Amino acid sequence: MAVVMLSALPLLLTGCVKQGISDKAVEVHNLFYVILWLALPVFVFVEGMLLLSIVRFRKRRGDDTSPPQTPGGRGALSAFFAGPLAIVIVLLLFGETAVSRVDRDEPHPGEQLVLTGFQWEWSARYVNEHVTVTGKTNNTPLTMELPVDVTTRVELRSTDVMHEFYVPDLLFMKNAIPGHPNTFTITPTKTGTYHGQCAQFCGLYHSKMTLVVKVVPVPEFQRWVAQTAAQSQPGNGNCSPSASSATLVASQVSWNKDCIAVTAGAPFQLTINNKDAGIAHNFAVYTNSDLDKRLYLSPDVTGVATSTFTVPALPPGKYYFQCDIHGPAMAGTLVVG
Amino acid sequence: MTTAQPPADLVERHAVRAASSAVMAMTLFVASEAVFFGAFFGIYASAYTASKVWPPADVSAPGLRLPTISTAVLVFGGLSMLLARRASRRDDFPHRSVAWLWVTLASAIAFLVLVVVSLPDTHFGIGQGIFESLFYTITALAMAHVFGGIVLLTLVIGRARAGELAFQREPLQAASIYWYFVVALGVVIYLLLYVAAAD
Amino acid sequence: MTTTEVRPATVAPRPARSRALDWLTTTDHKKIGIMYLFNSFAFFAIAGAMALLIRTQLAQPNNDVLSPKAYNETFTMHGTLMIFLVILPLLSGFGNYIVPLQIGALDMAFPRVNALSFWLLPVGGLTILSGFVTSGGAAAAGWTNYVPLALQEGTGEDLWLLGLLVVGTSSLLGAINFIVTVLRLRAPGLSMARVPIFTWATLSTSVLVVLAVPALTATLMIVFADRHLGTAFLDPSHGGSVFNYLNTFWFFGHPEVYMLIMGAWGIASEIIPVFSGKPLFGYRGVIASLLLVLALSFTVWGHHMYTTGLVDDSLFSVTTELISVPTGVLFFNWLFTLWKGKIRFEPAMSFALGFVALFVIGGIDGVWMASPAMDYAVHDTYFVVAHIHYVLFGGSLFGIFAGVYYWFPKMTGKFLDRRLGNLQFWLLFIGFNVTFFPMHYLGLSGMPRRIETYTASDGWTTLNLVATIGSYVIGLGMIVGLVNLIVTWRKPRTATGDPWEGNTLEWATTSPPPPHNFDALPPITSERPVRDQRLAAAQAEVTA
Repeated sequence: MAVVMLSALPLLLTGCVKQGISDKAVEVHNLFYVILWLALPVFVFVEGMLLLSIVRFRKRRGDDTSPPQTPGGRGALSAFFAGPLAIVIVLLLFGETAVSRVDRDEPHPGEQLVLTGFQWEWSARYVNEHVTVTGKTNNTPLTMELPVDVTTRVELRSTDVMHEFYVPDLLFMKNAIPGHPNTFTITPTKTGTYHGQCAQFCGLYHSKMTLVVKVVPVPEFQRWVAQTAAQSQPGNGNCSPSASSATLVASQVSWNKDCIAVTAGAPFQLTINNKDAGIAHNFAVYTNSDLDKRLYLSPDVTGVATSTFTVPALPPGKYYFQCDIHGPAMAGTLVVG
Repeated sequence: MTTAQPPADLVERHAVRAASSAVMAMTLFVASEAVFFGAFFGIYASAYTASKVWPPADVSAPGLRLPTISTAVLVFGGLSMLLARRASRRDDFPHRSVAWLWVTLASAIAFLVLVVVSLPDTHFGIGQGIFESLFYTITALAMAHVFGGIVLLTLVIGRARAGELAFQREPLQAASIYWYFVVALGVVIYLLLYVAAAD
Repeated sequence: MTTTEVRPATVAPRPARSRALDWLTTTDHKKIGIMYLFNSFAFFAIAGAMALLIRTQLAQPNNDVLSPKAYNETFTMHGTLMIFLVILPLLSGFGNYIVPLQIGALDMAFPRVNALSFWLLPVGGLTILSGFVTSGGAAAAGWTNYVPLALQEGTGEDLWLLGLLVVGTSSLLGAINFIVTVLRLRAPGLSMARVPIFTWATLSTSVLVVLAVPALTATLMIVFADRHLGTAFLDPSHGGSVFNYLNTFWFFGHPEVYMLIMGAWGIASEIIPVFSGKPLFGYRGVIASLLLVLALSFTVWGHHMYTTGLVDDSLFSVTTELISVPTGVLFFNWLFTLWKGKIRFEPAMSFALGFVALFVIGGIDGVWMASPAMDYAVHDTYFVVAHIHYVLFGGSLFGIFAGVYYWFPKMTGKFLDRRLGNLQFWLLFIGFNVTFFPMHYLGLSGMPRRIETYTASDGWTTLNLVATIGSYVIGLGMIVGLVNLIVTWRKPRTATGDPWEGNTLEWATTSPPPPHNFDALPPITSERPVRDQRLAAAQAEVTA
């Protein structure tokens, strides 16, 4: 029975690690097996000796003699230290190689991404293409595309609490920490649609903070970028008529409008009606969606509450507005004119 | 349930060992306090290595005059405690020791007063930044520990005057271990919060 | 010098008083130890019920047994209670009862502080739990209470912080007490090299507490300060950093997990030799390993932060993998104790062997996660949940149950029922593996921690259902244990002073011991004084 149990183990453990969709991921996949083959002898030895002793060295009925009182000397103890130490050294060598490869910043990234986590979704800004896509809390996951066989450099940020970007098929995760952006590069080598989600507990809707990563051939990626840019991007929308005041309702970490129009040359009243209990929102105006220059920032309004602010006069034009806390998920166009 | 008396050697050992256990217990307690303050010093080290200029740009460095005097007073209190310990070997113990304990107590109180007086010199608020937060938190905690030391010294002096210290040196030994820690803490804080932050 | 002035209270004969008042005011380490055990098992029942709620919620995708808010509070409380109010106090409870006996002492060095240490525990625990009755609910940021999330929380969080400060104080006072007791109150002849391993383990744990719990105190204080006193320790816009929290918390957090396991190592090291009829193999090697783990445990904390980008992953991977060496040595010592022994099977021994079989799996899990590149794939997933439970349940709790069956006769003079004990063992062993082994797969297939639900398309449904079924089997096992306790309550006292043919001094007195512990002590010339005395007596009989 013992033999059956022990030999079943390798079978139990194969096929449970993801293959990996990038070279770095394959590195980790292989490391899993290196560790498995180092761990297996230890496991077999310990459980084996245990089972063997239980079976062979039971006290027989009526046998009241003492077994040999082996105290265990220096030789045995040295072996006990040396064995695991040898395994550890081998493990460190393989582990170091793997981590230096996985942590490596691959050169010449073809794509640059600013990936921002916030409670409770993600937004991705493609820096070169000036295009932003975002998920909406409790509504839609971020769906982003990456070109296959191209290195994407990601700058991972958070605007509120600790989050963690995790795509199981990449066999990789990294924390998004407020005040401390993390950068890494990924070069996916297999096309497909991959699931990801936040792995760092971040509050109420942590389980819903999912994203979808589509790895596609380059032409398809470029088509997608163009399509996304053509859709009304926040900062580029249109609406009318202009008024001297505007109201934005915040619910489920989203605005009810993605475009507001105000008259030029005079200050205007901006009302935030925040229905998200315990969550703060604000109103910030930038020259464009690349956040080149901030022209106005309102105080925070913590829900459930309504507050009105006077925004100073702006010259005619189109501006990008967002809740600075939740970024592109709560963004739109401010038309002044 | 038996009502037999325990063997005399058990009781004897417990009594003899128990009395000097106070010193060991105080040493361990002081070790734990060192780790506690170490956590804050660790945060200080972290912030120091992460910032390009120290103290951070918006902080006006706290003045050095009063803190230097107060630290000197505290160190003096450490010396008087040393003398109190030395005097415990005298035949007329605890009289000379108690005298030095009074001096230590006075210096502790003087230290607290000087720190309180020097606080308005600092022109920053607690929430302005990491340096400010560390400054006020560490200062407050240190003052609390000095106050604890004052209580401890008062207790020891009280027991001495009540005649309880006639044959036991352990309360004085234990109190001195705590006090040396507080003095060392004061010196480290002086170096970190004032000297290192001076312009 | 007279000895009457510092006589411990237990020695002087007392007037009769109500039993309740007696227990409420006792400073007797034996009674205090028993109270620790009862208090901890009460919190264990609460935290265990929470575990069953969690598993019920996760049995099906998109389940609504618990709302997201309730779920978050539940897993936070489950972890907090198990770690701070169950496992460590259970080990302290055994320590309280057994350590003075094992060193041949009258009581702990500071009996009144000992009583205070105990009473702080229910106060702290109830403070933490009281969060449930506040309008915002209980703390819900996980037992690790990461910031900035914890800064967003309501009053339940403050009660959690305060309650833990109280519990931490209890641990610290208890630890100082243990260290002074073991170093100063040993019987003549009991050199440190002859001190029982359980006492050595309690000593090591206590050193860990003294040097690590203050870091937790500082951490809890800075969270409170940022929440209510306007400080900027953790606010990046004012020079603060999340790193300040992570560093101070995990500097405590890693030694903490060794505080939770060392006592169990000690218990196994007592039981396995006794029920094999052999000395513990490599006694001094075991002591050396304990001390090496103690020292190294302060060097590994960064492995909890591999994915933050804030620490040197390689440096911490070296220290983390090194600590597995002395841990491994312990296994070899236990295994070679069994080897060529004459093994007697009692529930205590079954639980001790189960402990070895399960803790090794948890330890090996740790080897995977110690390698940073591997950790990037499994951190914050159910792989970690599997690891945690293999070491804390398969390890610590199995060790504790072994201790219960081993020392129950000593404490009460009665034997827990053997068949019920074996039934409890098998239910727990099987239920535990069915619950937690599948979690390795769940983690590797991408299921993160601390999610209240998942979708059908995730592919995690079957294994979650299996795990939930296992958890109900565990629940059944625990009920069997409770039944055993109740059934045994009314039994007569049949246990002699040394029912198991033990080695160490707690077996040199009656079961239960008199208030003053010993009427006489055997001569101590080895680490197995009771066995030596038993053999000498048998020899004397033969020659008589």
